[in-house]
Amino acid sequence: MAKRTYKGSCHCGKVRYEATFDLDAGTTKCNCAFCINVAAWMMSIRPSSPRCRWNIWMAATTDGMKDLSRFAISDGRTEQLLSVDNILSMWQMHCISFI
Amino acid sequence: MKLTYKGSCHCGNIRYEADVDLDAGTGKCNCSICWKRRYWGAIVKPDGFRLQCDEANIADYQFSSNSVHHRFCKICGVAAFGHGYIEEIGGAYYSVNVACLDDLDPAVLADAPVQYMDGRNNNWFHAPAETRHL
Repeated sequence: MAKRTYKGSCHCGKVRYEATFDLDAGTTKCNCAFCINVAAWMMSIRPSSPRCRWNIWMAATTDGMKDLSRFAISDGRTEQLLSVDNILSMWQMHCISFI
Repeated sequence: MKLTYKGSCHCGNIRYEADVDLDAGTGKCNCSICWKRRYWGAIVKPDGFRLQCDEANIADYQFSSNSVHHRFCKICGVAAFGHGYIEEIGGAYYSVNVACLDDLDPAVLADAPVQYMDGRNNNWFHAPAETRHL
């Protein structure tokens, strides 16, 4: 299968994004404490796609991202997580598993 | 065998004790919320669940019929448990996320029987055709 652009969202629809990737390239599961708690099933993508970056940045302006930013701060991994690229990493880790 | 487990979210904000018999079966479901959360639950009666933290830091998400309270931590986001009232399964119940039970040998979880539910098609007491993604 080639790369496809997927729409992703949380259950209530507050968090929404698009991401482009090839599922056949491999997904990831992990047994770290957090991944076990959230049953994370991930697809890692590079934040190089302008479309991907734009859409996630747009999503960052919603109330959903305010919540996510608070999560980043509360989780103790401050500052570096608050750049766009690193917020994108969080989205990869915690949201793209929900495709 | 019914054992008392401690459960928690990732950051430790949510903490509880629950009397769970993992051998009696756990559940996975393909309904909209269970699918997104990849939730793996075990049902206990209300007297088998004891919250050991402040309710103030626990979010309460409900939708549709509002028959279930999907609880999650306001800090780390982990959906550690839920509760509700569903006549068909005996009325009031709590559901603990077995992935949030502390100090559990992975082999114990892997051996727990799983009942799959086709919630996506409102066919809760039958397994869906595809379960590998749950």
